[in-house]
Amino acid sequence: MGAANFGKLTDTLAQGAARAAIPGRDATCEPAPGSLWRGGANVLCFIGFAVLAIFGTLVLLPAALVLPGNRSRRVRRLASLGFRILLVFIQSFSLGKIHIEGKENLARASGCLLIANHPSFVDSLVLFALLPEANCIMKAVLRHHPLFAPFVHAGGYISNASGPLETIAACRRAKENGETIIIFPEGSRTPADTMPRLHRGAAQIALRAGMDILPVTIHCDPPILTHDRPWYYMPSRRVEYVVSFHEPRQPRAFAPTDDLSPPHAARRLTRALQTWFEHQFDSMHTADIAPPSAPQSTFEATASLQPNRSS
Amino acid sequence: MNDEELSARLYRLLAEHFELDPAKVTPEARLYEDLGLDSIDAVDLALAVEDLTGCETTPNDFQNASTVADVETIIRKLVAAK
Repeated sequence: MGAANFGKLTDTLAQGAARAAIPGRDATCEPAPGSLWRGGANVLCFIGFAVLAIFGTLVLLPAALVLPGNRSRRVRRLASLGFRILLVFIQSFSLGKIHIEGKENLARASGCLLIANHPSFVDSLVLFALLPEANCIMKAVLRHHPLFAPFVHAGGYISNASGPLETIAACRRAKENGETIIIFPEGSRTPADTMPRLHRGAAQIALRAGMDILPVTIHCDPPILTHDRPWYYMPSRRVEYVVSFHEPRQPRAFAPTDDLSPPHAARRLTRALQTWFEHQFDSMHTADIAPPSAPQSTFEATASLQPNRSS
Repeated sequence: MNDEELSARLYRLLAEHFELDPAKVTPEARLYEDLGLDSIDAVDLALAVEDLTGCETTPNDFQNASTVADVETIIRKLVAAK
């Protein structure tokens, strides 16, 4: 199955090169690294991703499962290491630069429900890279994905396919283990240039599994690997990727829900979180239209992606 | 409790429980698409129906219900079997 997928990858590779070559013609009059270079580097990163995944699945994953101890934790750390290597590639090719804000909140992520907007495919990679032992609520389709399925199963990630009560019970167990649970409450990637629209699942879980909420806002400019763009699309300038970890808080800090019935509480909390995200992106937009030199000063730029060991 | 009364109570329950506009709660209304319920709401619905009818329910009872009319049919069956 992995080989079949790889075949498809090399097919689209050719298309990607062809697509990238057209804007590349204009590159003669611009000294900045051209689209062709970026397109090629992007393809290399995808190949690297596939190679890491296949090598990991065939060699490292069996080793991780054979050794005694906490297997799913080891598998997660292994996946996280793969993502960190990939992000080092991406940054050293200058395809993108990852800026991390609110790093101190990462140390408080244990037992929290981490909710993030989801502009890009890269989001999961970055979050798993930064939180090596984090759990995640995964779409059922990933359990059958040829590249990801072995890791998804061996990592013991939570599936949303086994019914709502089982999902909540699994979240409660993970929380009691001190795990961080990552969820993208929109259920899918945010369509480009739109506000995130939260589903109620995240609020339901936070309330019913009794978890604190660690909100994360992600800003990816220009957008890449969105839901509606092909994987080989690469903008002509470096992607500035800002991931901000906000202070973890109890659900009642977002909305007073103590006196409400569970369905009402979940609705109230979802609306409050929706407003919170909209507020964050409104203020981000204000920062965008500030003079070009201003935004950089608001980023706590970091040279490399160091995971927080204490999480 | 006759059928009509039961339906009226179910409509009121749906509207109050899930913050819905009572005018939108019609037999044809689809639970997920039109009324915006989610899978956890279906579990809550089963519990609320238990309170309403005194019949024991499981979340699975409402798994295949897609409209309000489907829920009515299921409840009538539960009440009849009691």
